[in-house]
Formats: sequence, structure tokens, C-alpha cells
Amino acid sequence: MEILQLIFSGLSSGCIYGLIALGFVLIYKATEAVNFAQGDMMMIGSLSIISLTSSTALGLSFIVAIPLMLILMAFIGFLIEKVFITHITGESQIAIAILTIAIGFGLRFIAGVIWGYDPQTLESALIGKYYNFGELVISISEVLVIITTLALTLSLYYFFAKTKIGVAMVAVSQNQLAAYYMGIPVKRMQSMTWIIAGLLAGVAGFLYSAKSSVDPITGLLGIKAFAAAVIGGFGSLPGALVGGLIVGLVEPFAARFLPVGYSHLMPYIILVMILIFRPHGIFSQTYSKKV
Amino acid sequence: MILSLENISLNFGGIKAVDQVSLDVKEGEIFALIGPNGAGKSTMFNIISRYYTQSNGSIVYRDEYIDKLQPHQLSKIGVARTFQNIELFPNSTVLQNLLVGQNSSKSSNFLQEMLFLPSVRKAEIDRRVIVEKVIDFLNLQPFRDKQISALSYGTRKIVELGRALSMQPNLLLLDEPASGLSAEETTDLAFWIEDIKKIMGITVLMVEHDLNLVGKVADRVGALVEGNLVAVGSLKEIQANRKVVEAYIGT
Amino acid sequence: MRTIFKTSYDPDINLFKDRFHRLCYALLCIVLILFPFFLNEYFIGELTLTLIWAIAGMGLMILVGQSGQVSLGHSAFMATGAYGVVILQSKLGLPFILALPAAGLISALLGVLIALPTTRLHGIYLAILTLAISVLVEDIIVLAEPLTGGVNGMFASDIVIFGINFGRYSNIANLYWLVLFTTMLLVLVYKNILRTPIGRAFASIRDSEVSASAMGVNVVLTKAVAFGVSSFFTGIAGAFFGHFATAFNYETFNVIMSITILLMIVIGGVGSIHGAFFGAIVITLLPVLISFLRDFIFQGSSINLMALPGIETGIFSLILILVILFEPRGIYGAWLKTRTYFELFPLYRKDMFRRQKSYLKTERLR
Repeated sequence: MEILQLIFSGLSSGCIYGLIALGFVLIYKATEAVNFAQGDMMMIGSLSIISLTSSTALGLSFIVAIPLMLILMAFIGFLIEKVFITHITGESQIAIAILTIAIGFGLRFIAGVIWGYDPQTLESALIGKYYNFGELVISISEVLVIITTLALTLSLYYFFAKTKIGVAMVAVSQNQLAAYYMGIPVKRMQSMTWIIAGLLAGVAGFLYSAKSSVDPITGLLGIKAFAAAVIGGFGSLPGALVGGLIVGLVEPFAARFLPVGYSHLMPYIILVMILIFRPHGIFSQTYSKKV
Repeated sequence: MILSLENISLNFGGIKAVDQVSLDVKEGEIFALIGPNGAGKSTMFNIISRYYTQSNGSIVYRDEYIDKLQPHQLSKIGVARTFQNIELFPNSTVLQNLLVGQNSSKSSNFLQEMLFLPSVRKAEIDRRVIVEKVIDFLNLQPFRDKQISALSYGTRKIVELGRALSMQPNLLLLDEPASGLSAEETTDLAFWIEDIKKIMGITVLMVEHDLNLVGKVADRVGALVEGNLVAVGSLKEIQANRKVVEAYIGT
Repeated sequence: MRTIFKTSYDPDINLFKDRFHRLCYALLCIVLILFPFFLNEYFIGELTLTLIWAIAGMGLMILVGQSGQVSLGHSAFMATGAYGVVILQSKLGLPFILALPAAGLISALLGVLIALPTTRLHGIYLAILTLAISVLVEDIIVLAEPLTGGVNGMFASDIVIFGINFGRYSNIANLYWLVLFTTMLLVLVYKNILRTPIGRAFASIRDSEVSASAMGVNVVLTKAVAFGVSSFFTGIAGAFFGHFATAFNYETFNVIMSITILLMIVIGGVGSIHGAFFGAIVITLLPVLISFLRDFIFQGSSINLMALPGIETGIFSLILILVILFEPRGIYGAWLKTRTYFELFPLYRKDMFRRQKSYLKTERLR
């Protein structure tokens, strides 16, 4: 029963990692850039939903607050792409990565100015509600996390495999010039990608705030989500989710069975091992260069 | 015999890219491989220069098997190559690019270089002298201190030839040296390849589509069709061969 | 514009282009050596810190600018250097003059150990790997408590070489000269790398691994050497950093420090020694400037923008974003442009340093 409990809590935090990793993978798939600010975008999402619903701030109901927050996040994604990313299209991956690192620093600063550095928690009737199945204790918020993530991943998968826009976005990711010649509006597709990444960050942020308290440093969680994305091969959407679940599952088990202090090394050790032994993840998408 | 291929085969997932090819390149000759697109010419090149490992057969270079070598070890035994799609170092000058060719013959290790011992300076000047000879040979003087990214396609092609020459090889592998060159540039190239053989005494194995160039310089020609070496001889003989004609024109 | 008539290959190999060039750097050295006679202890301290950052920056610059591998984990090598030198001094009783290079070598060893199994990794993957290692090293320091003092950290006693005290608080001018001397030596080593085969091997793996191996460059070995040299430099910087801070713990060398070193060289200008120094100047000048603004400009006014929490990271990230968007070659690139403008006056054209825009093609096909 204890094992089941560990699995359950692992799955729900794994979903959060998976969602952030989905954001990385999405942008990587579409623009070949890695968005180091994804974790910080999630943090902004968390803090804004907390403020929107908090009785001491705006006190909106969730039905109004969630769409508002998602619109805000989509707008932030759109803005980051329009103001910064478009200007260095075609530069090296690393230049874009460094730019997003700087944007992450900036978001953390802005969050610090607006919300301060004290941890904030979400006010909601759902929080702290549990169901007991024998010895197994299941919190509503964790169920919510798992279901939302599953639904979101499936719809994204469908979007990229089946819809016209999704396929166009994949085409842009593989060869911008060729996609442009085929009449795909490359720039608009890139904006789209960042908007979706913003939405994903918003959803992840909401779910995270339903589980734990949030402060501006929360964004550094993104590093763990890197582990998830790398396990999944950085190019596969289901891979990112599976990677997230693996990282999420490892943590509670390590905390339970390893000596104190070693448990939160585990995600990074897995990350390093994967990069050494299977550098392109479990769901590999890399080929070798032709000479 | 400077290079012998014995029954080389390589499959890419069921497709026979190279099928039981045996080939001898004589010391001091210019040997050209021709064949339609996808005949396996570049694959052959990549096998010889160890980027691919053949599934069968072996390669003998000057009486030694070189199947176990890594690409970077070939320069030590005197094999240099160029690439079909130019692979220069775009953020360095022409001079620096050519000097890299001399890296394999260096006698110093990195610690001595970091301390810049007097022997390092002397070796550096020796390397420069060799590279300057190549620059003179290919008339690259005007471009010596230019960045590769500032050069035209044709010049880059020549620089890549120069970089291979500055390795002072015994066997030079040229992968489509004339592709993308203008008619005049190709004429120059033909003279250079002749001189590489005559003056420098380097054996040349080349893959080339331009049959004019092949006719001008090649001593012997081999025709690859669908991974098989169907004929070896002078260009005239090859052009008269029915299998080759069929492969080019279709039956 | 000066024209140099060359009659041998030596001028191309020499450290300085010509006598004017040599004179400039000689003057710079003399000014740097004389600084402690004119400045108060606070500014000597800031200068020392700038030099320490510059050494760390040069370390990362060798890796990123010369060999084209990106590391987001260089705080790990700073930590190795700092802990290494203090542990060697306190636990083994080595004198500083031996402990310093030994700490550098331990860092270099760690660098090579990281590089060898990961030579297949490129760009972003390597960046993420080193980021993870930087986090791991932080945790390992906490776990290795008997050696590292765990959460409490360590204290560095004053540096003493042949009876002369180089302590941070007892004799800052001496410490400054020691760091300056080390910096000069390391700059010389860096210059030597640039003008010898090893530097060309670095450049070749940066630009094209395929043709580097065709040129006889052993890619795996060269990457490992690049990592080793880079982490040696950074380890030395870390050793000095530990002694400069006098007390430090695992949090001193966190992920943010790694990222800061990378951002520093980007702001300074990737690929040049100057860039490391420009970046170091920005990073040490920024807090000084902010406190100056806080004290003088906003004195007495009710709105104090400079008192916002985290204003340093805010301004730092803003500078970085502006640099990447408008001057990707950093401060050094801007300096080159300005110099060319005056050298060619009035013939300078705006497009001379224009970058070629290229369309993205997938890097997955490597």
C-alpha cells in the first residue's frame, strides 16, 4: 500500500515535470531552440492564478480566473517571441538558449518585484481535500493534475499528427527555408509555437500551485524538467511526458529508500546517465550527418 | 599498389550501397571513379577514409590493413581527403585552415605548445613554409588572411584542395572536386591535378561527374553502377562499355 | 592605419603585431601594477575580484569561444578549485604556492572526467549535462561533510608565500598583485594556445568535427584537452575566489554562478581574451554602479527604483538581452567596430560587420 502511495504522488509530480518538458520539446520541435525560461514562465502562471483568485487580491472565481491566466500566459509567450526571439532567427541554438536564460532571469526579477520573495499558496476549496481508500490517501488536486495532463498530451499529439497547422509546424522545424517555399507562413507558425508553450506553462503553473506553494525561485524546477525532456529524447511529445513521469516516480522512491540527502540527486544522476549512455534519449530522433 | 580494396560491401538497411567491390590504385596514378547518382561512389570514399565501416572485405594501404583505423589516424599514414559539400572551418582564415593540415605531423604536445617553448616556434615556422608552398602552388596569395565565410564557392573549393595538400599526403582522395566550379575554374583544376601527380608525386583517387575533367587527367577510370564496379580502363573503353552506357541512359 | 612590412614569418607568430601594440600593453601592465598606490582598499578589492572573474571567464572562453562546447556548469570547477586549495592547505598542510596549481589540476581532472564520456554530445545537450553536473557538485559538497564542512562551508586562512602575507583583509594590495601576476601568466598561456596547433585543433572541432578528423585531429582527445585546460583556468579562479571570499559554502557556487560566468563572456564577446575581461568588468562594476545610483540619484526622492529586490539580476539580464539582440559579438565586437570606424575614417561602411542571416536547418541531422 505504501508503494501505491509513492507511485501516486510520483505520478502527480511527474505530470508537472512532464508538462514543463512538453513546453521545452514543443519549442525545440518547432524552432530548434531550447527555452530555458519555460520553468520561469510556469512560475509566472502559478503566481498569477494565485493572485487572481486570492481573497486578499482580486478574488475571482476559478471559472473566470483560469481563462484570464491562460490568456495572460499565451500573451507572454507571444510577446517573448515577437520582441526577442524573431530578431535572432537563424542564429545558433546556443545564442537563443542564452537569450532565453536571460529572459528567465528577467521574469524572475519581475515576479520578485510584483509578488516579493515569500512563498504563496493557492486558496481553493479543493486543496487539502482527500479521499481515503483503505490506507491509500488520494488528494483531489493530484487527481486533477493527472487527468489534465493526460488530456492535454493527447490533444497535443493529435494536433501535431493530424491537423494542418500542426503538420506545418513540424515542417517548419525541419527546414525553415523549404517550409517557406512550400507556402507555410514560417513566422506565424513560430508565434503559434510560443503561444502554445505559454499556454502549457500556464496549465503547468496552475497545477503546480494546486499542489505546492510558489515563489519566484520555483522556476528553477525547470532543470528537473530538462531531465524529463532529455529522457524523452527532446523531440518527442509522448517521450517528454514519459520522461516527466520517470523523474517524478524516482523522486519519492529515492526519498523513501535512500539515505537523507541523496534523494534529490537522483533526477540529475538519471539525466547524466542518459546523456552518457543514450545521448539522444529513449525516443531517439537523431541521425548522423552525411558527408 | 598504394591502395587495394578487397571485396568491399556495405549495406544500408537492406540496400546494397557497395557490393563486393575490388579495386587497385597504383602508386603515382590518377584514378577516377565515375557513375550515376546513387551508385555508391561517395559511400566508397567514406569507407576508404573510415567514416563508414564496411560490412565485408578489407582495405590495404601500402601493404597494411587499415580497416581498424579511425578517420583521424589516416592523415598520419599519408591519406588526405576533400569533401563533396565543402567542410572548411568557416570562422578561420585561409592560412589557419591550411595550417590545420599540418597538425597531424606536429612533434610537440599541447603542454609544450601552451608554454610556447622555442622548439614550438621553430616547428611553427617550418609548418608555415610548407603551407606557403601550397599557397603559391594554388595561387591563393590574395586570400591568405581572408575568412572562409568571405570567399566565393569556387575559391573555397580550391582552399579545401589546398588544405588537403598541406597535409603532404601520399594518397589524395578528391570527392567531386569540380562540382559547382565554372568552366575556367575547372580548367585550372585540371592543370593542378596533373601537377599534383607530376610535380608532387601524389597518387590521386577522385570521384567526379565531369567527364571532360576525367578525360583530361585520369590515367584509369572505374565505373560504379548500383554498388558494383562494372568496368575499369581508360575513359574511352569505359564509354564503350555497354553496361555503363545502359546505366547512364537506361535500357 | 599602420602598414607593416613583413620580412619573415615571425611577426605572424609573435604575441604582438608591432612595437606600437607592444607599447600599449606594456603601458596597461604598468598602470595595473601601480593601481594599489592610488586606490583605497575597497577599490583594490573590487579590482582583484574583477581579475578573478576574468580568469574564470578565460577558462570558459577557451571552451566556448575556442572549442565550441558550451558549459552551464563552470561553477563546479570554481567550487573544486576553492575547496581543493583550502582542503590541501588545511588538511594536508601544503603551502599555497603548491596548493594553487594542485587545485587547478584537480579541477582539470574533473573536467577531463566529464568530457571523456560525453564527447558525443553537442550544443544544447552538453549545456544541459553540465548544468546537471553543476547541481550535482553542489549536493556532493553538502554530502561530503567531513572534507568540505557540509552546509557550514569552509574558512580560508590568509595566503602566505615565503613568509609574505597575501591576506584579503590583512594585505589586499599583495593579494591583488598575486592575482594580477597569475592573470598575466594565464593570458600568456591563452595567447600561446591561440598561435599553436592546439588552438587550431580547438577551432577545427568547433567549426566541423567531420573535417577536423579528416585533418588528423583526434576529436575526442581534443575535446578532453579543451575541457581540461578550461577547468584548470576556472579552478585557479575558484581557488582565488575562495581566498577572496575568505568564507564560503556550497551555496556560493550555485547554478546561478555557472550561468553568470557564461553570460559574462557573452556580454564581453565570445571568442576573444578581451571579451573575458570586458565581461568581468561589467559584472563587478554593476553592483558598484547600482549602489552609486542608489546613494546619489535617488537620494531623498520618494521613489527609489534602485532599492527593488533583485535589481542586479534585472539589470544584468536586460544588458544581456540587449547584447544578444543588437551586438552578438559583445562589447569586444562593439570595440572592434569603433576602432575600424576611426582607422578607416571616413571610409567605414555600415555593412562591414554585417552578419549573414541564415535560415534554420535542422541540427538534428548531425
